[in-house]
Amino acid sequence: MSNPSTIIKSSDAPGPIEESIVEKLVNNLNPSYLKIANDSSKHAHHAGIRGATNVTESHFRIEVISNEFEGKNMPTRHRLIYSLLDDELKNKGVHALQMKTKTETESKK
Amino acid sequence: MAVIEIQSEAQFSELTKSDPSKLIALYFHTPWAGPCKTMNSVFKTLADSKAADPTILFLSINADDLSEISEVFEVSAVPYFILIRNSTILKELSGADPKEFINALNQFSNSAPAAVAAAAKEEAPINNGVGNGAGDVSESEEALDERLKKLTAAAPIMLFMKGSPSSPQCGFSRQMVAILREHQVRFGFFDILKDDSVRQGLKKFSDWPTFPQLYINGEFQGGLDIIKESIEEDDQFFERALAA
Repeated sequence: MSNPSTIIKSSDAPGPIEESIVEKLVNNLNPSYLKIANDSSKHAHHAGIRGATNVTESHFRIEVISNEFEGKNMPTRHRLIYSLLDDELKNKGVHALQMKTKTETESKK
Repeated sequence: MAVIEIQSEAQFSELTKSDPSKLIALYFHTPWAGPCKTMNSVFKTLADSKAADPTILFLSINADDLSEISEVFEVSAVPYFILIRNSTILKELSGADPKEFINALNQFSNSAPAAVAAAAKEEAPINNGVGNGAGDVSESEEALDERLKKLTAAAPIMLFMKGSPSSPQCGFSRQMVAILREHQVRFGFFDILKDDSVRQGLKKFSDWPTFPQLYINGEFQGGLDIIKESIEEDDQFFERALAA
C-alpha cells in the first residue's frame, strides 16, 4: 500500500554532502517525497560565510513529506532534521537549511 | 536640560523646521526596551556635554506615543538614531552602540568632538557586542547562560540576526526583518556577527544551529521558515504570540 517515494536531487551529479543528507533523511523519515536543492552559490559571497572552507555545499533547501512529522509542531520537526544532520551542520560546513515539512495529510490540503 | 522630549507632532515639526543650519539628533525610544534605558542616559549625557552649542538640537521621541513620526522615518526597532540637517537625513543608526552614535555626531557637527570616554562608560550590558564581546576572557557557562536569558527577553520580540536591520549581512536575516516590518511589529535585535560567544552560546541555548532566530516574550519561536509558515497560517501570529 505504500507509494514509491519521490526523491529529487539538485542535479545529476550531487556532491557527497548532499548524498549523505538524502541518505539520512530517507533512512530516518521514510518520506513519500523529498526534494533537495543546493543554493550555496547564491551565498558564496555573504559576510557570514566568507573564509569558510565549504562554499559549494553550504546552503540547502529541503522539502520533505513524511508521516514521521505527525503530531509534531514546526520547531520540533525542524529540530528533528537538524539532529539527523548534526554532523553536516557541525563538522561538514553546512551553514543553512531551508525546510518545508509536511505530513501526507497536510500535503493534500 | 539639553534633551528636548517631544510631546507632539506639531512641536516636532516646529523644531525640525526652525533652522536649516542646525544639526538635529533624533533619538527614538520606548519605555519597555531594555537597551533604551541605558541609551537614554547616554543620549542625555551627550546632549548635556553639547548644551553650549546652539547649532545642535537633541530631540527625544517616544516611538510608541508618537508612532506617526516613527512611521515617517520608518523606525521599526529601538533605540534608533537619525541625524538630520535642513530636512535631509545625514545618518541613521539602529541599536545601542554609543560609540557609533558619538562618531556620527562628531562627523556631522561643527563643534569640538564629544567626549567618547564619558558617554561610553554608560554602555548597556545588553547591546550590540560592544563591552561584553570580543575582549572578554573566558566567560563562565553560567554567566553566558544568564546573559542569554536576559538577551532573549530584552524586548517582547527579539531577533538574533546577522548584521543589523539597516544593514543585514545575510538574505535570511534580511527577509526576517522585512516580515517584521511588513507586519509593523516593534522588535529588538542583536547582531550575532559582533559577538561570537553569543553566536555559539545561543545555538546551544535555543537548541537551534542557525540564524536568524526569533524570540517572543523570552520564548524561542523558530527561524525564517517557521515564521513564514506561521504568518501564512495566521496573519495575526505576532499579535497572538505577544498576547500569550
